[in-house]
Amino acid sequence: MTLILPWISWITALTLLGIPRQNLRLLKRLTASACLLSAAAVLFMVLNFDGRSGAEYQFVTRLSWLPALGIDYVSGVDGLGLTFCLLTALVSGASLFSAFTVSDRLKEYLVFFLLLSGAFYGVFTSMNLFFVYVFYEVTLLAVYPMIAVWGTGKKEAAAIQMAVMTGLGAVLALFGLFLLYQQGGPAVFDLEAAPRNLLAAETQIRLAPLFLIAFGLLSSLWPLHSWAPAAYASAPASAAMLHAGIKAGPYLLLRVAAGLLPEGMRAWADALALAAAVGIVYAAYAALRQKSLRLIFGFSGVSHLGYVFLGLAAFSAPSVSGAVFLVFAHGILTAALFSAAGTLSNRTQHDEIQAFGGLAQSAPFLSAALIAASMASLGMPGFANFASELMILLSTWSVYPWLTGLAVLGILLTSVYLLRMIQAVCYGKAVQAETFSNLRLHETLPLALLIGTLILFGLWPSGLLQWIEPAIGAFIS
Amino acid sequence: MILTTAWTLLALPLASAAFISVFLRKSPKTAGALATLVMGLCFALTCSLIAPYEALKNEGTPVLESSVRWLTAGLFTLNFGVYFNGLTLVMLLVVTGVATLVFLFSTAYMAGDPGTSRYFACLSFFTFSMMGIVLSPNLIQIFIFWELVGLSSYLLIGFWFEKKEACTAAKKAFMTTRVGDAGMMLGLLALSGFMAAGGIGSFDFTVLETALPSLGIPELAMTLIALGLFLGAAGKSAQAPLHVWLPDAMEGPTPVSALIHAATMVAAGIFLLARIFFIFEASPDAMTFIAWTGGLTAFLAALLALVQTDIKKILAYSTVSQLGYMVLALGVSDAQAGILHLTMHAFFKALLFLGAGSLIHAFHSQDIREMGARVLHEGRGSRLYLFKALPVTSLTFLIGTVSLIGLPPFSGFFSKEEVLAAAAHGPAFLFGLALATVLVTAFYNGRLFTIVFLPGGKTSSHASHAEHPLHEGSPAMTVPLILLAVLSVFGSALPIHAWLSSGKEPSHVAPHGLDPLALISVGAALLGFASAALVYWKRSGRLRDALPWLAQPARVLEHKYFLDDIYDRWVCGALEKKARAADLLERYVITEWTINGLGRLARWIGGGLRSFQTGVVQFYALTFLIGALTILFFMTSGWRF
Repeated sequence: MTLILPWISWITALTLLGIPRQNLRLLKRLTASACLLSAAAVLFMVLNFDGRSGAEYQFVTRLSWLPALGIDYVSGVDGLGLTFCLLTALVSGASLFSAFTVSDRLKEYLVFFLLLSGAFYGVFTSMNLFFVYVFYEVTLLAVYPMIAVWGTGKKEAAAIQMAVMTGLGAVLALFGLFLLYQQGGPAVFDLEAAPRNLLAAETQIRLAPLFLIAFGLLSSLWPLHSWAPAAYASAPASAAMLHAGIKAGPYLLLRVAAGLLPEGMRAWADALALAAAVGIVYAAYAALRQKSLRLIFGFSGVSHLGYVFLGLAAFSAPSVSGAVFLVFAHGILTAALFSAAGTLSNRTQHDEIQAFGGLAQSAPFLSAALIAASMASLGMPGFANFASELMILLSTWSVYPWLTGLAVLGILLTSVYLLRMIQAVCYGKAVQAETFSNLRLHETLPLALLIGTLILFGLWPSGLLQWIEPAIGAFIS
Repeated sequence: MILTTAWTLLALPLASAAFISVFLRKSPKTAGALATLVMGLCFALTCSLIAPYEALKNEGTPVLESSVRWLTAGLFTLNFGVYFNGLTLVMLLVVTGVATLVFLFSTAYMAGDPGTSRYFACLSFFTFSMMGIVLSPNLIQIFIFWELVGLSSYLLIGFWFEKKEACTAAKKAFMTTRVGDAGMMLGLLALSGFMAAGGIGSFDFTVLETALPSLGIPELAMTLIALGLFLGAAGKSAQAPLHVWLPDAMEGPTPVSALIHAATMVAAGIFLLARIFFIFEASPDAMTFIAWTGGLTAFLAALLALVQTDIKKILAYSTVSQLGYMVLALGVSDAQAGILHLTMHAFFKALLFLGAGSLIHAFHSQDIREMGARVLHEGRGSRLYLFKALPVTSLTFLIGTVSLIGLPPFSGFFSKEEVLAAAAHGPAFLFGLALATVLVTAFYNGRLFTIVFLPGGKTSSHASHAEHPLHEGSPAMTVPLILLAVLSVFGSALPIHAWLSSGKEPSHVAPHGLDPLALISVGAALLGFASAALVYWKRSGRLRDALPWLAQPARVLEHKYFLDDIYDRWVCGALEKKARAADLLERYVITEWTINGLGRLARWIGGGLRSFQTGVVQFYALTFLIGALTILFFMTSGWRF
């Protein structure tokens, strides 16, 4: 089951290459069926996942690949992987709709789209660190052209910035993986067995900073974040939704740093917590000054990842579970925000918040969705974001009271820039009212789906935590 | 039985809000009728709880609780549920009772507004959130509904979102109360730290109350925790210096002001103080701080009401001032007096706001001077013209006013006497402040009443815009006024103390009508009202024209103690400065170093591959090459890290 997950998208991508570019309908249909099929596979996994043994990998398939180096292609998911697969299914399903609005060279765009979403499935279903890395590398390669070619504004600069920084992160990670291999042999790449045969504490402590920097670069941890707002502001909506929504960086950090190097993680936790808390406040301040909708969302993302890292740094079972829950919630939220921003800039051809206005009148649904998403982002109860942030705050307070206090103040700053955005975009007299007449289903459905998901897991957090907590418990005792 | 009804009470308004926003967006009349009926049903259900609750209490089980698990965070189990005791009952009666009347009033007041369905959906959502606070069995759930109440208040203040003032006011209300909420969150977190150390994993009031003494929280920490939680209460209940949002919140529709910004939501802070009174009692310093905050707020806000000309703003400052009274009562350890005043205030303040709504509906103006001028003009100098034109509004407004200034036998008198009696046990200065507030309250009400209802002097020529003569609204508007007036007169007959007192302890001794304190306060009220009537009898002008030395103090009041300017300059300004600093840092330092630095590095290393257009491909190629070579090298050399 898990084995085919990335290949559904990749094989479809290959098929698309053979289809004439004029046949838009077939291209779209095939892409949509690949997404649907993957989502159905994820749904099957969700329904058949044995929650009581959520710490164990399930749906495991093993293929011999490089016996000489002892590396096999093993796929399967534990509770953590399943959560991220669900995130991928939801976000790629929702971003599909805005991917179809690309008018120029749709065929090539969809190929990259499928390459990207397939690669994410690969990252989350691989049980061998080597393959996790390879799939992750593909996500970087796929998203680069999506931004550089189909983006807007200073797209080349943004894409280069992103490629350079994430590329550097990837190289550092590769180097780190190699050192791991050196120390522990092929067994260390086996995620299932890894928690049972950890390296010596001293080695872990020496290796951890390398991975923290590498994955910090990949997941836009302050102060290594600067590529993210720029890239997502230039990216086409669906690329931003996928890449900003499906946060593989924290997943890697969790798998490698927390799973393989728990002692190293503990040793460097204070530095991580400090960067996280500073990032929360710093990025929120930066967001206050932005005039472009997508830049606001970009900085908001950096700020919110701070809570994730704070939870990881506190390194207790509830704080890390809360962090994973927040990665999920914030991923869904980010996808919703970029979807709304995409619709707005598609219809108005601009992105300046001051040039919008009166959306509540001209497009009540879009406005309500934007307000709901903003409320979720600023920690309004009822949404999954609040539940997860509360979990993090309650469990980090006893470890880092001051930094947690700073994080609480960060929530206030979030309210400031988001309320300002709402006032500029949604309220006031309607500008260009006719631009927003007849919103189409493909513009509203993804928003309803994503926000509905946030509310579902906000009211019923154990729906996700029943998978996350056992998996986290397996490597944090 | 009681608990099932309590769950139903929580579910009904939410269902009504959801149903309206999904199915009734295009049928405002049905939406209004449905929402009003649901609220009426809620009120009836609440009333049906009185008898069973009293029976239970006689059996000796005055507290009921039922909850389900919502979230577990390590040691902490966060539940969602309902909790029922005397305080719950009183608050439920106030919320559902006033809400029903306000909903009914709104069906007429909002008729014809294009957003009526949205209005009723939001208002129903508000009552749901408010019930959530009232029924909450634990601190976290209170916080959750606390935020939801803030959200509905935000949506309703900004209901007329085309108006810039309304949006700004909504934002200000949300932000100011959120500052309080952040304090509350910090208080909760600090408390949770000690709970974790003591092995207490539940925020339930019943658990906390028994466990708190055993946690061994140091005195300073206890004070900080209590003050953090109080900050939340002060934000919602508009205590100085966080009161600045409430007068601006009057941009919302007037029935919203009556229900949310006078009777119920702003009372949530008082309710919170009463609900977790055991936490505040554990810190005498915090109690002193609370008492002073309440006393100062009561007096300073009453002064501000003196110079306002917008009828809703006068009433808003009046609300701030009365909330100050309630906080003062709690600060001097008389929670029952605070809750009693909350209840009576809900009646007469909702009445006054709905009365103001009725006036605004008739005059299409909120300025008391314009109202007076028009009455004078239309009545051709007849002083009691408004009582003829708008008999119900005028008489009920008079009843509300008298109740507010606290003359016997109106309900406001009894509750205010209890607050004053409690304050008499506190510091002498605070007691003096509370008495002075009585005088000022009577004066600004006398001013308002004389200018609008008893105008005199010359008719001004330019007030001739009366196409339609003044007339009363439909029964949907007058019936709530009459019912609230009845409550304002007879409200004190409700057995609030008996409901509030837990178990068999002797219930609160109500002060008698004729003790010296009552004589003093009634005297002060009469003096204040009469002097205002005297001053404004002739001219609808300004007091400072007659008494020039008042000009300077009046200027300070008109600028609201310059508090808004201070916030603008020091808080918003500082925020803006830091944001600019972060932005500059981002643009010129971080981006410069990381990107251009890395780009240069890439170009420098990959100098030989310059034929590629961008640095990216070469960078990728190069790093992979280096990576592969390194791996090969290490694999073959057997080097160890």
